[in-house]
Amino acid sequence: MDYNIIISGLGGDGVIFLSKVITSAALNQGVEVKCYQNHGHAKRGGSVVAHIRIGKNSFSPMIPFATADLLFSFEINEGARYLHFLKDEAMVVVHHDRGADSAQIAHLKSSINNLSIIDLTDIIKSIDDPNTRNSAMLGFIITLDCFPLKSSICKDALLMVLPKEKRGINDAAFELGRRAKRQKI
Amino acid sequence: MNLGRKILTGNEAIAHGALEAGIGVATSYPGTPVSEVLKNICVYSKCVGVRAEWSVNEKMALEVAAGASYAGVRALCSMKHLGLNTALDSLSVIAYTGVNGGLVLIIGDDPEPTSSQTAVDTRYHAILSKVPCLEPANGQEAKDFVLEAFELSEKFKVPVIIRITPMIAHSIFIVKLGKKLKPFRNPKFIKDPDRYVCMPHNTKMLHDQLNQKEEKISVFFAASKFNKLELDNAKFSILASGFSYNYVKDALNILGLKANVLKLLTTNPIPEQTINKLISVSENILVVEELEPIAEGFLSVVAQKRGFKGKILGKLTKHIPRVGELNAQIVAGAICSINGKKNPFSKIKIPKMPRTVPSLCAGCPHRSSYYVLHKVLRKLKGYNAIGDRGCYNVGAHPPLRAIDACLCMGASIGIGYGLVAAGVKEKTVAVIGDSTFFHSGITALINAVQHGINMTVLILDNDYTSMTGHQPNPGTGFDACGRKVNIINIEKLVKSLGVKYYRRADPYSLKAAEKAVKGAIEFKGLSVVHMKRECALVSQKKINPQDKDIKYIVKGCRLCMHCINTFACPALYVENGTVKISQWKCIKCGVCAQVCPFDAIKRMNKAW
Ligand SMILES: Cc1ncc(C[n+]2csc(CCOP(=O)(O)OP(=O)(O)O)c2C)c(N)n1
Repeated sequence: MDYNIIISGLGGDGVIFLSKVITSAALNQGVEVKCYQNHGHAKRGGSVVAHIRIGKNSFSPMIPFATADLLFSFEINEGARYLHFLKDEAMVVVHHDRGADSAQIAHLKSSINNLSIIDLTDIIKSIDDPNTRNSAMLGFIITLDCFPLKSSICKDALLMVLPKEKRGINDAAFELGRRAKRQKI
Repeated sequence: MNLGRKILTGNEAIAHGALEAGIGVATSYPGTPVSEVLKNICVYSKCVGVRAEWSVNEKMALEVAAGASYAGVRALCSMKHLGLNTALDSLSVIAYTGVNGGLVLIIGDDPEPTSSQTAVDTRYHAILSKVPCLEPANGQEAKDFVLEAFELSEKFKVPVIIRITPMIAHSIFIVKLGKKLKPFRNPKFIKDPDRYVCMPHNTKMLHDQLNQKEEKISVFFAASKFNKLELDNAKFSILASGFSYNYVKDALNILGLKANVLKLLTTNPIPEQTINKLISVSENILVVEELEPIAEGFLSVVAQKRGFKGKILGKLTKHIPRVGELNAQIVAGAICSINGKKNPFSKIKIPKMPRTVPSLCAGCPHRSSYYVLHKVLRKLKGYNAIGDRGCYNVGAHPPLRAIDACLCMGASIGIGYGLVAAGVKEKTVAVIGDSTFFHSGITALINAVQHGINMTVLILDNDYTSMTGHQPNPGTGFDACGRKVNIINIEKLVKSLGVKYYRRADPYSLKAAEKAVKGAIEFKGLSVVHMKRECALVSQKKINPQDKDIKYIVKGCRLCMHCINTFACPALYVENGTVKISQWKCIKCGVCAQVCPFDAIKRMNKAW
């Protein structure tokens, strides 16, 4: 079966950026891939979502309902918006700054079996650049048992698309994400 | 391993295909979802060998491309579906004259619609002007079809439409690329008045020729590789048109059902022989197509001719909704209901989440213009503000609710004129952006001036076609390749028409702008206020290093909420009993400081 990933967040979170990285990693690993992007109002801080389908049995770049294996989101509400796309056993990773709104988290907990909530701001606190959050997210995601792409290939793809001067800090953020303890709530 | 295989969006794939086909001219007017076609032609070619331009409107884009084609040069013209409404007059006659160098149109439909005012189906334009229409179903086909379309165009001497949707335009696919071809350059217009001088005496002949071409193309399509009938030993069949093929395949996979599938990618003319083959292997046929039930109607006609006993199902039978973009769930639902299967998607609940309402950006000059306009208009007994297409139509949302109507490109002045012509007593104001003004507002203004209409026109000039990604327009000063070009001066243009009241104002200077607008509203006759200030998304990238030390803060807020309710900049928010300014969003335009009635918003420099 193919592996379906949904990435969501708000304009500026790096959703489109990460979807490009993962798509080119899949190409480099020699598997089929396609990716749907919806960034209608990204510039104005609106919702942004990307679907990635890895494998040769899927056709539309858009993931059908109830068939996604993994959802990761940079924002709780933007994660909750796409729950109907998930399989029952899907993995969900959501970024959330500590001091969380408990109602939203409780809602997610009650509807998802495999939920990880991570605090990217905390993970990258030793790096003075909030824009490296998405590299840390990718570092975290590739440690998931179910993730189908090789971590070295993902890292190479990440560094490839970045300008030279940004590679160092994003490499560091990626490694911090990779080492972050999975914090089950 | 991945030699020549790249990940590309559909738009990028099309741009690459155009260069592989050796185009010499590329024209476009921006519009979602195909704005990135021309952009990437410029990127990939570095504007060497290809003459690429953002034309003043779609009609112009098509005529420039057609002229190039007459001269024997391959030309690609891209626009959104609504653009083809504008260019249809030209297309229908270019189809009559026929082409020389290949002429291919990339048309982006918007079935949902997500970024358009209507969801018209371009296949009807293809039918109306009798030009062939191809619909790729993935990125590879998107690229390959451009090459095929040029061959087709030159073989039959007709313009060819490639119809795509956002699902292809904006999605990323793995695409195997070919070699770019050196543009053919030996342009010559060979005179042939019987063909190019379209007058009643010869158009009858041209009409006849076009009909013959259409028949030949239909036969050619039937024998071509474009369409594929995938037999699955089933009685149930599906006609999957264009991109919907993917939804059909995904749905069948999920349901674990068998069906014969006709992948139909030549959607005008639909080859009758291909349809005959489908009929001969089917008991019932479901038709899946984006927007109008065109293939469904054609299939029904052919089925009747052939005495087909089965059912033709689709939009006309309400198995598939006629509104909105398709997806795998919709197709699966239709397949289930026809085959008496339980629909696995019927139980799935879509989470109810608040919709994010788009707003004008922080520091957007349009917001200031609206603030000033409404400050003046509120004092009148009544008024009508007719908007136009562009970022400024986002101002229709609360809390600004700045415009009362908004139709199609350039319509603000004409509709406003109509209200006045009908005798409406309230003051009428038309609000129009710079790109839209050049696109078709100028002709409307000429009409209004000629007839001495009493109304006010507000031109919101932010130097760019911002809504669609900051393409240059005739007022910008550079072209699609970033080269310096002539600037069309709106002030001189408007004054030359004989407009008696023209004022230019800076929307960031509220007092002066208010004076200009007030004068215009009180003026008896046609008045124009030209609000000029660069788009904030562009200007914020060029913030002067000295300005980095500047900061706007709130001190002594009385919570009158005037700024929040009537100005509503997204950088302003309320927290702990005071209005605050998000330093992250603020672009330091300083307009809110002029808006605050109590001078509670202050400009600070680093010393603070
Ligand atoms: C016929 C047609 N062509 C193109 C579009 C897409 N479109 C919507 S708004 C717009 C132009 C916006 O430019 P401008 O008037 O300068 O306003 P701005 O967005 O810069 O404020 C375009 C090209 C359309 N809706 N209809």
